[in-house]
Amino acid sequence: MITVKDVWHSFDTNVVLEDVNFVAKDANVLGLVGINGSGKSTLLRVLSGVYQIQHGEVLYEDRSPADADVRKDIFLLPDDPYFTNQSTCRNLLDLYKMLYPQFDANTYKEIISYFRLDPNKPIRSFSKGMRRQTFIALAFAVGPKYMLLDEAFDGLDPLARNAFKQRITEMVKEKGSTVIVSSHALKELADFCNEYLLIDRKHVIYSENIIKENAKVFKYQLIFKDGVDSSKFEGIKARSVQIVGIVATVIMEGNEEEVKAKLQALSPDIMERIDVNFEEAFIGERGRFQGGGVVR
Amino acid sequence: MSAFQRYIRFHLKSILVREVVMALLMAMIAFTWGAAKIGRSQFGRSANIENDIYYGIITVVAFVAVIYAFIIPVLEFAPYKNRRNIDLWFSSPLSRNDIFRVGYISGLIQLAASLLISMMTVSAKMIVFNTQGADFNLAMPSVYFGVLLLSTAVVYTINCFLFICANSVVDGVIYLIFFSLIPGNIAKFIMLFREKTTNIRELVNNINEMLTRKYYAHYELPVVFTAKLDIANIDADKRYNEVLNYLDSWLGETYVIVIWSVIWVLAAAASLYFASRVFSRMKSEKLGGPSDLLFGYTILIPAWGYSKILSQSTSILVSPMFTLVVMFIGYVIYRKGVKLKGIDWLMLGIGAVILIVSQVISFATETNTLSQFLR
Repeated sequence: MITVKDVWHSFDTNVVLEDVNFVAKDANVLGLVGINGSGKSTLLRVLSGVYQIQHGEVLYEDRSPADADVRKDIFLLPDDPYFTNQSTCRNLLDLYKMLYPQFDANTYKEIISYFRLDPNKPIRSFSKGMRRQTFIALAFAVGPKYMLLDEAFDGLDPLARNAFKQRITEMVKEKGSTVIVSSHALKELADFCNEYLLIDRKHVIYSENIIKENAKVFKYQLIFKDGVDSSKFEGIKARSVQIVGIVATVIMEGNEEEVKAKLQALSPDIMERIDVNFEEAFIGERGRFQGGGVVR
Repeated sequence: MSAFQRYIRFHLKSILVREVVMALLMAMIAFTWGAAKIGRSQFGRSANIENDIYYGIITVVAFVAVIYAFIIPVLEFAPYKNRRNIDLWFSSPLSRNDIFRVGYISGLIQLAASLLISMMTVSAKMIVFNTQGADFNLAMPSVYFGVLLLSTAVVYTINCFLFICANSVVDGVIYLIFFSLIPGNIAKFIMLFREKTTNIRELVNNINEMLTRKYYAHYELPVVFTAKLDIANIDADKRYNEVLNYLDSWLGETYVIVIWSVIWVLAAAASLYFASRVFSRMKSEKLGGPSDLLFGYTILIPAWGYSKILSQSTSILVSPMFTLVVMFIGYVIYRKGVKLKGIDWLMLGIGAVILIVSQVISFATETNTLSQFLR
């Protein structure tokens, strides 16, 4: 379990994280969501011990990442990981084997061959996705209790992404690992994270299971055979209204019956509820936090 | 095996090629330079051969060793001035103290290995020449390289601290340069200050004398020591005990060197302590940004600038003014832009005041106005 209590972090006078509090439970995949510059990478660096904690407390069970021994169980995969001009998959194996005594060379080799990476070729000659695959292989070979992944899916093709997610899910089940994964690809996080952290304007503003269970956000498609324009929805407090031809897609929050009744009052010819995807819910949450109103 | 042991083994293995290249380069320089001198000697006159071979070693190897003592800290610690690398190293199960110790010790090993191989090369050469009538004592290179290693280790340790204080490689290199220049400036200033009350002719003579002297900057220790050893060797009977006796005798006579040596050894000990402390407390988020540690630009720019201005007080005005310009450039590099802080302008202002005051005093002294006034 990772406990983050009252963490603040700043770069000189620029405060990046302010009063961050959350708990990441064991056997859990936690999605870290936020716009560019929101502090996702900073938070991961604070959690991994790269940045010393300026204020507050980060505890793995009851130990700080400042203790080198604790970091045996932590693996940070940054968005731009380290390798030299001479680095090959084979060299990196030696490096990580030296750093992490529990490193499993067989797992590494297995993943490298699964992705069909040449172990003797310099990593600098690899594509962005191939480099990512190499470091993913290293992460699984280390097999940490706590895995911190920054922009994890960046550059990966759909097949690699699925294989990656599947591995994470298996690792979490088997070892009870805690994985914190940050990504801009919100859709990617939707189908395998158990919980989400939303960082915006220095704060972690939401740390519960916002999307799948608790969010009271509803999305309806309404069809008006005689056509429709935005004026029809003026009296309705919706998060978003999109009109394409005779079809209007409306996202609203609140009590489901009330939402349904309000929309039925508009007399659509056909009305159907559809699922709210993760991205829509995220944008909605963000909009609400910033005092944002209706998106039309 | 502990994390430290694993890392030092891995690190030494990964820098093996660099280590071999550096060691061979130094050995080749020692060997080739000595050979060139011997080639110009009249072969068969053993005294010339012996003097020439020592000359080659002393002037060149000490110089190369000092350069290594500047290069190795940069090579060892530059990777920790890069954010990408830091993500790996500082999130790994290695403590920062272990990382520092590995860097420092492997640098020392590189220095020692280079000097050891040079010593072996030179000794081999002496053995060959002894078979042809020369009379080299093989104890001499052992003493010579031992002294060279200790003195370059002092330089290396101080340089490690200076480089670690910086937040970028460029800043670290600038620190090394600034710091190396300060003791010379101070020595010049002290000499000028002492001689101020004498007449101008004496002053010029003193400046000339002073310019040809050693200033006892940290990097000059190896050269001073080995030069003294050379003197010991020329007169010695080439027996180990006698060489040591000579060493004792010149140490007793040249107390200034002893004082400076003690100062620099203490400085090296303090440097080692603070280097480890600064490295362990390094704020990774500041890497690549302005190097704002107290012992950095904050102290080095004014220390270099003021000492330079004071040491130039009898020269033409352009020279100290140029120093002020260099100080300004130093602040621009420090702040990574022309937007200087109030404290920077204050330091530059103090520099300007020192310049004016020292020029006035200098003018008054040269025209005897001051002595007339004091009378």
